[in-house]
Amino acid sequence: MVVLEWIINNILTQAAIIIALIACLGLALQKKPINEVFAGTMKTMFGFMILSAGSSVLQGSLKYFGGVFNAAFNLGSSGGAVVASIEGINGQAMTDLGLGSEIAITLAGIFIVNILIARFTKFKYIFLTGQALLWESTLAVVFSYFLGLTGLPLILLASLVGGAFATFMPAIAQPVMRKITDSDDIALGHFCTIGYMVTAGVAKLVGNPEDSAEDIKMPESLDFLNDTYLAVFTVMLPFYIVAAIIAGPDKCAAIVNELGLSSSINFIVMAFIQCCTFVIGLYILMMGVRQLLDNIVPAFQGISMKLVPGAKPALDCPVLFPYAPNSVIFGFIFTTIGSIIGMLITPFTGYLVIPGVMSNFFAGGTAGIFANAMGGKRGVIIGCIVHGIFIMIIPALLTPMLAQIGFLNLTCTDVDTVFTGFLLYGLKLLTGLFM
Amino acid sequence: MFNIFKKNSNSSVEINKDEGITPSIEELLSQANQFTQRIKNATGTAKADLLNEQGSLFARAGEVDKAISAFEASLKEANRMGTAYKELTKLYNKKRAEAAAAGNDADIKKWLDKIQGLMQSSKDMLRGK
Repeated sequence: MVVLEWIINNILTQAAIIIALIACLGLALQKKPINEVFAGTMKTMFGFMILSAGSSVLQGSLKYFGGVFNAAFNLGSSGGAVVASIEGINGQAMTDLGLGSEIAITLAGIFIVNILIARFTKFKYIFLTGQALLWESTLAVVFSYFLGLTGLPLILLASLVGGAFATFMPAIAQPVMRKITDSDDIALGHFCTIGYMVTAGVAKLVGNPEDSAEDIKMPESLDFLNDTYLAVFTVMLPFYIVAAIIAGPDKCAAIVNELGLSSSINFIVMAFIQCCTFVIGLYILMMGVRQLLDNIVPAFQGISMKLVPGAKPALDCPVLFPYAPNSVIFGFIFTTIGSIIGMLITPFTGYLVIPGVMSNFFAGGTAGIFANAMGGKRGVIIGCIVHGIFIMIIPALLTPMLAQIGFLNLTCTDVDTVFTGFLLYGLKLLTGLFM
Repeated sequence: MFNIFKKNSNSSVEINKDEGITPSIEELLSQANQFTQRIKNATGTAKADLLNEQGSLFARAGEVDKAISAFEASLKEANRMGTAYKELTKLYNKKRAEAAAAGNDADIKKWLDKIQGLMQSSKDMLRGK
């Protein structure tokens, strides 16, 4: 009994160990040799620790930015600037909120619920995008926790909601997917589906699918996105510098002192360094996420494919890029224009949401493909501008709840995960009525 | 519908695609084999176009492995968006489904990894990598 208690108190409360054990189980189920099981288990644990380190670096920079931004623009005591970064949300939830174990177990739970729904209903969609599932697991856990749940009930509810989203979101997108791919072989596994469907709807209303954006001569790539982190830096730097200039040296110095940073550095140089720190934090965090998922996801992918006869794999959005490459580029451009308009609207919610450049590329590009399929060139332009506004306003509406839970200067990007939050928040309001 | 690359193909080999006429497997294979010599003599994007045509004929004839080889060779010759990517995604997924039906874990992983590789490549290409 004493030994069991010791194990529970000292080992099973450690998120890094729980995550490693899940990877160990997955590797063992794949009948991997013992040395591979050991290596994969340890690498997963290191992945979680790298993620935690990245999250802490990211937060250091966000604390500085939040302080300087509020000193410069003062959006009110409960408001402020928030960066749209689902990666950052995941990092804070897994480390600072202490929900790492729950998120990892729920990730496995989502796989199981997804397999069960696909196995026993006509919805044969198996969601295979590991990172997206981790984001969904994060939001499902965070908002189940917000409902007041802990332990097993929290994991069960989050797994059910996450598993349902993993199965039904690809199903919702499938009519347009059939139109794009001219087949029913593959599905879309990217938790931005609601945004894509809004875009497709607008494009259908305003455009003509025969007048395709693919008939335009275009550059074949967006070279400035060659380096993800450099692109993020380029977008974030003006926000850091402008906020520091408007706040002025005195207010910046006060924030720097409060955070225990070196006060001898010029306030604009400090803003530059803090922006670099933000990017480095994101870089480390994503390195951890990839390493963490490397040994967990393949195991469940293989198992799900075997257990569900006739499974339709729901794949990450780049699977669609070869179908309409021009539309990806147009989608990115017009979603970015829309997101800047959206950003200017968001202060009405009390928060200024700063768009995420990479989510604009992936979600915007895919929205472009959806819009082109339903409304051609005109559909892409108008649909994607609406998409850009939509993916700013919806996370802005969730931000007060995220702040209430304890998230610091961050909001979500992938809109389906935001709707997961709304769904669970709605549940909280409903249960509140009867309790 | 979005196949602009196919539309730009310069191939002069006649393929029987008349509406309402379904060529037999033998006819499709014979048409596919007609490309072999021309593929040997071609280079660059012209060769990739011919390989795509051949791959499509093999795919229509149900020769999945040969079709995969042709499309993979096409991408090796000229890595660009279009027919080869789209067809390979479908064919890899078909092989993945066969592996799943046979309960073959190694092959499920192999074909899923190949699909993953295609996605990574198309993502990198659009980002100018």
